Amino acid sequence: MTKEQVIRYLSETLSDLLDREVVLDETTRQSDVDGWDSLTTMTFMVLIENDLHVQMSIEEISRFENIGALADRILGK
Amino acid sequence: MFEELNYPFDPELLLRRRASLRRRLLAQEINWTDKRIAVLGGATTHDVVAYLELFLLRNGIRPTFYESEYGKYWEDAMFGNPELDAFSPDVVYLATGTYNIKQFPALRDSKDDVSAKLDAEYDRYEKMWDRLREKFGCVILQNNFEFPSARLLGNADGWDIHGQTRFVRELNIRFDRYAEAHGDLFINDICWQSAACGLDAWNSRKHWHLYKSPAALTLVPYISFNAANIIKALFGKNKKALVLDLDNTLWGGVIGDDGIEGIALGQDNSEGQAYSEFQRYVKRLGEMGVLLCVNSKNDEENALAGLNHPDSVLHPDDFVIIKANWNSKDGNLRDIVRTLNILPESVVFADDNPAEREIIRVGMPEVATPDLTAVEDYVRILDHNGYFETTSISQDDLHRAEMYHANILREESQHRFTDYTEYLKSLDMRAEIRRFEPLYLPRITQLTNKTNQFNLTTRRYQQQEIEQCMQDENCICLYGKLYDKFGDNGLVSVLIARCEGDVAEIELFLMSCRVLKRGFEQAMINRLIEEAKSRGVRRVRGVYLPTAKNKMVKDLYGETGFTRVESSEDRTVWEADPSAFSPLPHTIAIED
Repeated sequence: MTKEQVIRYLSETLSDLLDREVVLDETTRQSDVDGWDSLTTMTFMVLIENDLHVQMSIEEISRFENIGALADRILGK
Repeated sequence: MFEELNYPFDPELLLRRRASLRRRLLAQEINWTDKRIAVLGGATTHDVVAYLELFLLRNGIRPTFYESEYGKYWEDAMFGNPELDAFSPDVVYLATGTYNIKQFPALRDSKDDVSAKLDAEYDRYEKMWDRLREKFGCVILQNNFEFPSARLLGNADGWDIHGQTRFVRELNIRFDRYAEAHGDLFINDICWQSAACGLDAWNSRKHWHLYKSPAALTLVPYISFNAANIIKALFGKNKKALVLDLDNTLWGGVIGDDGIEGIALGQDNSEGQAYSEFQRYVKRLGEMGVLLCVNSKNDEENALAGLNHPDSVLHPDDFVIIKANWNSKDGNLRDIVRTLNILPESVVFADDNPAEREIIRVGMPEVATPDLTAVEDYVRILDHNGYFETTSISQDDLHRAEMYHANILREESQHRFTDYTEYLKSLDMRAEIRRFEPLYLPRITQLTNKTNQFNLTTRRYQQQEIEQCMQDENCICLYGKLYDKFGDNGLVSVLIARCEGDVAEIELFLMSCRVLKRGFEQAMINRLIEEAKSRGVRRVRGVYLPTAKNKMVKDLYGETGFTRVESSEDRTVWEADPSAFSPLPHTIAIED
C-alpha cells in the first residue's frame, strides 16, 4: 500500500463512522474534523487494525500527531 | 430489512456503519414504542448505549437514554441526581462487570473472610436494586460477571474458595437467586455471552487499558444485543410463531422425490442426527408457547408422511397450522398470519432455501428470516437471535398451542352455523370475572404490554404498577378468564377503572385477539357497571385513544350503551350512568 492509498482508506473509514463525507490529508489533525471525538478514535483504530492487518501499540494509538503520522505508523515507517 | 442486525452479525460492519444504520432505522415510518432507559455504568458505556439503541430500534422500540458519568453507577443508583430523577426511567440498566469487583479473596483469607467479602460485594448490588425499585418502580436490568482471564490457581481457581473464578461464580449465583425471587429484575447474562464469544477475545486487555471498554470493542455489540433482547421481550416485542419449511429444514432430502425411506432423519447417520437435534429444539420451543406452523411446497400427503416418520420428533399435532401445497410461500404465510390473528412482525420464517427467504424478505419485510444454511447451525442461529427470549413463563405460555388448536376447531364449527348467536350458544361458554389476584399479576402485566388491537388506551404497565392498582381501593381491577367446550382460553381480558368522586374512568380495557367477537366484552362491561353501582358511582367514563392498531374498538363504547361526550382526533370520551344501564346481552355463563 502507498501512503496515498492509506490516507484514502482512512478518509473512507472516517466518513463511514461519521456518516458524512470527510476528506483527510497528511496535515489533518483530529481537532480539525468536526465530530471526531475520542470515542470515534476507539472504533477507528479497531477497524484500521482489522482491515489493514496491523497491530498498533497502546502508546501509538494514544498519541499521533496528524493523519500523515498515523499513515506512517500503519506503513511501519 | 436491516439484516445486518441479525445474529450472526458482522461486528466490524456494525462498528463501521453504526451512524448510517441509526439514521435509516429512525427514518422508518412505524408505530414506535418510546421508552426511557437509564444506563448506569461501571466502565465506558458509550458503545454499549449506541448499539443498544440500534437493536431496540430494530425491534420497534425508540429509546431515549440517560447515561451515568464514567463509573458512577453506585452514586447514581444510591443517591440519584436531579437529571436522573427527572428522567424517570422505564428501565434502569446496571452495566457493571468483573472490573467493578472491589475486593477479591486474598490467599491467606480464612473461609469466614472470603464469605464476608462475598457478602460485602453482593450487598452493594442488593442495596442498589432495592433503592432503584423504591425510587423508580421500574424494571432493572443487571449484568452479571464475566470470568477473569487470568487464573492464578490454574484449574483450582474455579473450586478453591480463594480463586477469583470461584468468587465470580458465587456472586453470579446470588444474582440469580435474587432475580428468581423478584419479578422486576433481569440478568443480562454476560457470563454466558462472554463464554460464547470466547473469553480471551472478550477480555481484551488492550481495549480495557486504552478505553476502559467493558469488552473488546468488536464484541461490545453482544452486550447490547443481549440487553436489547430482554427489553424487547418485556415490552411485548417477542416473536410468537415459528413457521417452518419441511424438506432440508426439518429433514434431509426431498420427501416427494426421495420417499419416506429416503429422507435423512433419526440416528442412522450424521445428517439424520443433525435434523433430529434441530427437531428436538423446535419441539421445546413449542412447549414454551411458540406457535409452530408448516409452510412447505409439498403434497399434503407427503408432508404428513414425513411428520409421521418413525424417527420424527415433531408430529402433525405439534403444529397449529400445516400448509403443504404448491402455492407461493408468501401467500401461505399471509394465510397463516391471518388465521392466527397475529402481526407479520411476530413471525419467524425458517427455510433453508435462500430464494424462498428472499421472497418473504421482499414481500413481507417485517417477518424475521434468519439465514439457515447448514443444518448443524440451525439451532444456534435460531436460538442466539433471541426471538423468543423469555422473561417469565406463564401457564398461558405452556398451553398456548392447545388454545390455538381449539380456536381453529371453533372456527370450523362456526362454518356449520348460519346464525352467529346459535354458534356462540353452541360453544357453552363460561367465564370467571374477578378482582385481580396476586397469582395473575405476571400474566396481566404481560397482556398490557403485548395487546395492541383490542386495547382502548394502549397503556403499558410494569408489574409493580399493576400491583399498586390492585392495592388501591379507588381502583376497580377486573380480569376475565373464558372457558368453552373446546378448552380453556386462559386469562384474556383486563379492565382497570379509577374512581374519583362519583366518576369511574376506565384507564385500561383490553382483550386478547383469540376471544374476539364472543360477547366477552359485554360481560366485562356488565361486571364493571355492577361494581361501579355498588360503589355509588354515577358516571362510568370510557376513553378511546386511537393508535395505528386499535381501530377495531373505536366504537366499542358506542356499541355497548355509552354516550359520546367528547370527540377529537386524539381521543373520544364516552359515559354511562350505572343506575340507568341495562345489562348487555351475551351468551356466557358467569361463575361466581
